Amino acid sequence: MTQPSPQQVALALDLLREDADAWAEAAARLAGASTRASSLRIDRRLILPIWDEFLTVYNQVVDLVAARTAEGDEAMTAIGGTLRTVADEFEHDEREIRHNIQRLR
Amino acid sequence: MAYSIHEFDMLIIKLDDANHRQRSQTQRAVALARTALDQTFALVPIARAEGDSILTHLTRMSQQVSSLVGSLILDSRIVLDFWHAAEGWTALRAEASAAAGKLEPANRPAGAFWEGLAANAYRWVTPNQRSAVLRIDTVAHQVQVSLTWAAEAGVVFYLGALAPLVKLTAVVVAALPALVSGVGTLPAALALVVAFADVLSQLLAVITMAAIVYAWAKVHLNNVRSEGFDTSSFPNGRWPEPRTELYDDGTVSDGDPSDWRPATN
Repeated sequence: MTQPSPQQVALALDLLREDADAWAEAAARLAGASTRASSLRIDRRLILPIWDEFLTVYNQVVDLVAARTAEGDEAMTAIGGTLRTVADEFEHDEREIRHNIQRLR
Repeated sequence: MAYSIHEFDMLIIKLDDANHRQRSQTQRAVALARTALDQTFALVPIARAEGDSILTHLTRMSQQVSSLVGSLILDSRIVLDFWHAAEGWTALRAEASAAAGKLEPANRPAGAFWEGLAANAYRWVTPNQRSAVLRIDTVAHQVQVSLTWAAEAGVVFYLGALAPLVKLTAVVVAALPALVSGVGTLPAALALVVAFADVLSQLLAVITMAAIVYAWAKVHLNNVRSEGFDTSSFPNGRWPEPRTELYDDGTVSDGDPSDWRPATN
């Protein structure tokens, strides 16, 4: 198996961290969407209950969107965090290995 | 939509003012009609009692209509809620759209520069995250459409019902003195019957039209609830699992080879 050059490793690590940032930013957007969804409930009490059926379904949809986007925030934060940890671990081990090889020479 | 939020709000305020004016005018009109009744039928107690009974009934009816108008005016704020919420969903769509943009494959090139089991798993597992975001974007758009229809139904219903009801109380108030005058009773009664029939037909037309638009909004929203969160985008009714355990091993020196390898070609 061909060993990657230090430049290839550096580029691959940079791109992995860029991916991690993209997931983190997407997570933040979903967190914003979740908060916004929760604020969009309509709880007005009406004298004539003609809108009740619509409002019941509407508020269910609001709750579903708020819940799913909160889960999405959690999932993407996990993905971003994992990629960042992978990049850090790989970089650390790679540096150790190169250091050890140089020491043996 | 025929009206902006501001125009709708201003029309409702005008109708509310008119309703309040009618209430105070009713008191004055009843007092005037009672005086006229006393003078005209002072010597005919039976006619006076009948006139008094008509006055009492019409006054009560006018108060009930006025009270209904007050309730409808209070409830009409729901239309503004629908409008504001629709704007909120537009902003929510912008968040979802921005998230989807961040996750576009072109903005995440790392997958093409890594090989190995973890890199493969990462490429395989994560696209469903973006699909779920796009589904949220679609749901937000559809909810926005439902709210816009609901707002339209509300505009048709509240403005369409309030205007003739306020007019009806005005007609009743104006007719009160003539109704108990003896000479003008018949023409005033006929004018009232015509006014009632007119209002009734307007209300029926308004309720029919509003009910149709409202039904669209309800059906549409029900579809959003049932189809927007199906298992194709949200397996087991939840956001897709990130499955990070499949690609979280970046270590090289832990005894097993790293599941991530920088691509060499």
